Amino acid sequence: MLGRRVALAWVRSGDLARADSMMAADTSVDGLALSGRIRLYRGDIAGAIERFKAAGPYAGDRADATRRTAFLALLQPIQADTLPDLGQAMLRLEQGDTAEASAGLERVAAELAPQHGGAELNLLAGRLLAATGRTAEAERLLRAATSQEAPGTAPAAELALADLLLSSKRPGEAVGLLEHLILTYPQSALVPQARRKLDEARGAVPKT
Amino acid sequence: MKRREFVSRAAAGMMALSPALSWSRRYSAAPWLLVPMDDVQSDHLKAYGLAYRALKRGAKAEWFLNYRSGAFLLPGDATTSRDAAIAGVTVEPVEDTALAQIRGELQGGNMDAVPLEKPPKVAVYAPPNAPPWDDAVTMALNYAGIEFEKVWDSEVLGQKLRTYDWLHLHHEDFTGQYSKFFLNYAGSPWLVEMVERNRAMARSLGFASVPAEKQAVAVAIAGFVERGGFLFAMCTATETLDLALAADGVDIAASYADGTPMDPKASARMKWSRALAFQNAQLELSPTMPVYSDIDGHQVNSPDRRQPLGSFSLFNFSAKIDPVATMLVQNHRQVIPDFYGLTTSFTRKTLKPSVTILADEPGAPWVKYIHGEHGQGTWTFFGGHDPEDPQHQIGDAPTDLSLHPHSPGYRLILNNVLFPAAKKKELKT
Repeated sequence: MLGRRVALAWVRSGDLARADSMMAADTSVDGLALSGRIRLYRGDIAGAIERFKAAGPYAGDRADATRRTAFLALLQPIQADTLPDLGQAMLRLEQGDTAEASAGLERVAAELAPQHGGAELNLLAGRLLAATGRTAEAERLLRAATSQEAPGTAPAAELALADLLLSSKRPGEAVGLLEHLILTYPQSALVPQARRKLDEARGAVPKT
Repeated sequence: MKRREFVSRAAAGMMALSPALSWSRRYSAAPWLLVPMDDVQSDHLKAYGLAYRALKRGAKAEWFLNYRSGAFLLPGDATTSRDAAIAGVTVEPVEDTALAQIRGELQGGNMDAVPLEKPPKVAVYAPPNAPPWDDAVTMALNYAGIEFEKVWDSEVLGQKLRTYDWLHLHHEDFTGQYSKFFLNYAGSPWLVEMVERNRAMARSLGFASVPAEKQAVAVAIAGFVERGGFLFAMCTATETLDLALAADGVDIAASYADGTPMDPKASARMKWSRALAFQNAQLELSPTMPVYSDIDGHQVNSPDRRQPLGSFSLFNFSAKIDPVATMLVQNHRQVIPDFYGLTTSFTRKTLKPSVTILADEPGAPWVKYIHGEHGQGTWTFFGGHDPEDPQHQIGDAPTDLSLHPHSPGYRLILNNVLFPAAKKKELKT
């Protein structure tokens, strides 16, 4: 437990080699989960996926498990085994440097086809920018992520974009986008959320 | 080929097929869409909006009374299918042969098909700054996506009601006593604003007091019904509308409202022939008690007389002989939990004999949901404030109908909105 905390501190300081060596002997599921993050930050996509899967769904607390699932969703469409630039961008995110992280993610996304990770990376970068209030850049990246070539990502991107438009007081555009999401991806798990947003955009339910 | 690459290509192939699941590909070209209203329906409330909007586009529709809890038949065009998909309303494509079978079934039982002709033009009586979340009908209309306009005293007295088919009243106090909250909530900002707004309106319309002005509004509303309008009222608007109509030349308002005390013999002097639903009620004389009369069975604001909530049962009517009453009780539940309002229910002893009871609490001395005719029009009164907020207190969080898409109480409200669209049928005698 203490060893993992220290290793995580080394990760955040940017010394991935030292963190990795500390985790070498830790074969617990929590250890595998952290080891997966270190692999990811080193750009070892295949190694990260392998360790995240080995860690399973119960390592760490609920937030850890959710984050691990999100990492897997982000990485699995990527065909390359290694992507050092993606590792760097994700490390910046771990270190709290959202601006650098989003810029790095956008650069990597530009190198990948939408269905092979490009859309997912644009979606993450767009969400980061939206959270920091850089709405114009966020909108550009989220629109790029709505590519129908990546139908697994597009509904989430359209929902995030609709959220951004609503918060920018552009409900008309948001309504069109949400309708498109519902009609184009009726099997998506996000359809109930899209309907909820649509109701909010139209003033049909109170805002929560 | 590496395993991951193979999996990725296979996934891409599957995704390429996924448009087959999208709306445009799933859209069935069946000539009709059945909107079931039984438990398979995913959003009962929005189904009414779907039917309303189809009528608005000039489409033909039918209401299958008592068939699958009041199903609708809509045209199977692309626009209606798209609207249903966006709203999340369950629809079932129906071919002509299947429709013929359904019609045969309708003929054989206590069921009927009522053509829906044109969407009613809806008005909601509410002050200009009324919050949309404090009126069950406004909430239901907003959620279902049914258009409406707001009217208040100046529009009612300015003859604007002639331009509407359907009028809704909610918790307005037509006795002009500010819901009798004047003394108990003295100084509350919302009450101060309500009093100021009403006084300003009465002055601007040339009335000496708010009670006098509200009585004139009540008379105008009764005139709207007499000329053929459809009136739907809930909560305290039901009771106070009739009290204001019957109080012709009788002072039923406390001195804080009009400067003179209430006539202590008001109950005996009321002219009940002018009222729509009630007769022989005893008026509450205390200005501090937020109760108007013994019309309300539950007396929610009277600590000594308050009755607990039970549940109310919808009556069954003959669909072929009494289609209007049947339309008003279409529901997927027969027994519905009760809910309070300033007027929660209507005591049986104060109902006029001509009143049709649509729902009551069996064994209790009150009923919940009533209907009647007045001149060329009809009125429907539904006691209580919010079907999904049984205790409703001032300042409560607004009800979010997306959490109650199957609300049987709200369905009753929406039955009322749609029934004016029904084509009148000649009865077989």
